[in-house]
Amino acid sequence: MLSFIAKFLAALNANSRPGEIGAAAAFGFMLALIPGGNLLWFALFILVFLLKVHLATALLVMVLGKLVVPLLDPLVETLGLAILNREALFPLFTAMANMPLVPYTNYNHSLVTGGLAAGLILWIPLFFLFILLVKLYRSYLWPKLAENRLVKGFLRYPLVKKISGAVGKAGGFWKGIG
Amino acid sequence: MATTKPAKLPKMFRKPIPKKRFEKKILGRIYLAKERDFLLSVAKKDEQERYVVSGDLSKAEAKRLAALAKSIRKNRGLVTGWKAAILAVLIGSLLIFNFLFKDRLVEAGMEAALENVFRARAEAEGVRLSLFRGSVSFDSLRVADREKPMENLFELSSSELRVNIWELLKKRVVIERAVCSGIQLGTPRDSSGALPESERVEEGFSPEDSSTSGLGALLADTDPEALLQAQFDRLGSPAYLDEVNKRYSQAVDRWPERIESLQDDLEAGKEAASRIAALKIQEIDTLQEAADAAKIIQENYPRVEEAASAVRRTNRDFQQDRETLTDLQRGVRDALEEDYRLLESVVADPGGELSGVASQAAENLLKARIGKYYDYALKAIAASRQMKTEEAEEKKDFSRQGAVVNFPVRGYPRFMIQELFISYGRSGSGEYLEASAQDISSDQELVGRPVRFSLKAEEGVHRVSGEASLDTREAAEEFLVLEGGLTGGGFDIASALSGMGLQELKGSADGSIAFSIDPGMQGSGTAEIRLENMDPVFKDDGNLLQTAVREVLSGTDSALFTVSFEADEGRFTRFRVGSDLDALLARRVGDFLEAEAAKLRERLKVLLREELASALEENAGLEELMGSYGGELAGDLREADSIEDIARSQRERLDARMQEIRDRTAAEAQDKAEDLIKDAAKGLKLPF
Repeated sequence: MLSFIAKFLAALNANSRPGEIGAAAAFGFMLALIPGGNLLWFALFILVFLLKVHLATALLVMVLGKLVVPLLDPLVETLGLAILNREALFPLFTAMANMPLVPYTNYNHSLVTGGLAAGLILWIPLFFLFILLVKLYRSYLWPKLAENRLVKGFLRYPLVKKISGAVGKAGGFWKGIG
Repeated sequence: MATTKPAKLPKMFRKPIPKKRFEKKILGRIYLAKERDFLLSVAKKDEQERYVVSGDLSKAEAKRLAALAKSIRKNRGLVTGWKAAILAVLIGSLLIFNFLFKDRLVEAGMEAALENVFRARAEAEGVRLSLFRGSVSFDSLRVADREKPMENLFELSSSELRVNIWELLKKRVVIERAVCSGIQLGTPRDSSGALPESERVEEGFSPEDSSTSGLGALLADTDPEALLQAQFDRLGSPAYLDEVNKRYSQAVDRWPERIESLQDDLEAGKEAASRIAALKIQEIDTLQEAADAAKIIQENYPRVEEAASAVRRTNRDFQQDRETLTDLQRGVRDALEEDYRLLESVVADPGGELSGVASQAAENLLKARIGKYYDYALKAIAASRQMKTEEAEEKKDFSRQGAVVNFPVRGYPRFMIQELFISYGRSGSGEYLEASAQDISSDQELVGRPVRFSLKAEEGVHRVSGEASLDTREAAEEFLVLEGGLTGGGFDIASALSGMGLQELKGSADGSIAFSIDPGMQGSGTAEIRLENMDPVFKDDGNLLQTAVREVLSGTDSALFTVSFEADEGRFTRFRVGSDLDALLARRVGDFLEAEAAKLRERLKVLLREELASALEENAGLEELMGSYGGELAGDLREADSIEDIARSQRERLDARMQEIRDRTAAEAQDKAEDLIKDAAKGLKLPF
């Protein structure tokens, strides 16, 4: 977890594409929304792994998302049931039930379908929201933090240095500070 | 003059870069303004509008430029190649792991699936999976019996299953053909096969000890004395007689004292009566004498009355007591009659009992045998229901809630065994089984066919064959229909026939059984068993029944048993056995047993009378004693009446005598008065 946070901060401060972070956050939240233990989740995870998105950000958002997603379950379930019980989609779902591998996605579970649908719907807003946040951070917050004495002092602490070293690239995430 | 070596530039900056490319491919991939400014500060435009990075950079600048070049490269493209490589390596490792450990994984999966179906421990050994051939084989498999955790429901040895891989990709386990070369049922286990959460329900059919059945128990013990002793606690007369004698004894103890105390009163009355009787009433001549006599009577008459009254009261009490005791005494006779009837009923009509003696003896044995098959049928239904439930309620893989919406599937259900062949042992060895099943599935509605079973088995000298179908479809009229036969086999019953006085019965047997269980779990069926070439071995205790059965079985070598039964939820609600052997036994030994039974009845009566003789004698003695007390009291009563009569008579006579004296005295006084008047009249001189 600490590693994810350090890598996320490093990505924020390094020359990484804001879209990478935005997409990672959107995918991470989608992974949090879809219950694990099925082929769909694994397929999505592999996709996230292969795409050029910031994996640490995706994992961090997923872990944090898992904490809040149970609160959204009633909504996700309602959405899932609404989709699964839609008559127009019945032939599609029936065909999917008889396709190879598809049944392993557990698509007929309301939380899986609801989570996928909610994740897809929220993907674009989250993507652009995170891009905006990254840009705002880089334009306004980061320069101020770089000059802040408290932050500089904090980074000189041996423990913080040690943690920074332990997370590898983290040494560069405060590039320009200190 | 020393010259400084120019810093080595990153590859992308070594050649001049066209403006368009520089802005799109390099500047466009720098997202930090500071870094962009830095690059623009070190990259200068040449005369062709190309960007050229100067080689005169400080060490720090060169290092920063190298890092920048690296990040620019990193920001290219959508897919990371090295990640794909890592993933490929991971997937490869997983496949290798699966290849190496797939057998272990399948073993665990198989055990979990079987435990889920049978709700008891399942243990598989030597499991091998071939994904290319689509086959699973194992060396042994044991599934514990949920109801008897220290026994296995079944145990399979070397077996092979051919799995439909295409259907497996659709998340359906379809076993096209399963061949198990060895099966054993009910084998013992070293450890309990109960799962932690499974509930143990000790139910089912179990044989009972037929030696306790009515006639068998009775006629096996025809010693009248022993029989009387065995029935003694049920008899009412001994206790009743004791109670009556106790009440008599209390009366006998009480009455002598009371009668004795009465004698003093009676003596006092007699004395008083004698004083009254001593008065000579006719000699009383004057009123004074009469008054004296009346005084004596007045003084003594109450004592006479008191004595008479006491005697009468005592006699009345005695008569009441006697009446109560007489009623009790009459009850002794009634109790004895009742006990005679009881003893007669114990020695029941042997003709009637014999009509079912063979059936009774066979009933529990047949119950146990048929119950065993019925139990297996119920277990098959339970397993089928469990599979159906699993099909309907898809297991959730998540900790979160949610609902599963089932969509119709085509072709196959989630679980199906199309053909199952099980064999064990060698035909003719006495331990042989050959069973097959078709279309075992978790959704018979989808398959459109019931599960069909067939069986051929040898168990010792028994040969069994049968066919069954298990239909859990909504429209099914019967859940399970079974038809079986027992052919060309022998039988050897070494127990459960002790009621008939048999130690062992051997022979050959043919039979058939048919039963069905409806969706309400109510079952009914019939069975027919023909025993032939019977070779009985009798017990040595030489009782009456043994003699009779020996005589019958020596002249008969075949018997037919017919069974009809009904069951509900694993328990027989009706189980009737009939046999032609019953009629034969009844006919052959009925008369003999009837005579024996009549003798036994009489003997029992005599024995009971002998048993109660001393109590009856005591009762008679006490009754006699009470009679003597009654006689004594009757004498006292007569005496009391007599003295009272005497006293009353004297009193009446005195009253009459006194009246006479009064009348006479009055007459004399009148006469005297008249005389005086006459005398006075004579001396009187009238003036005129």
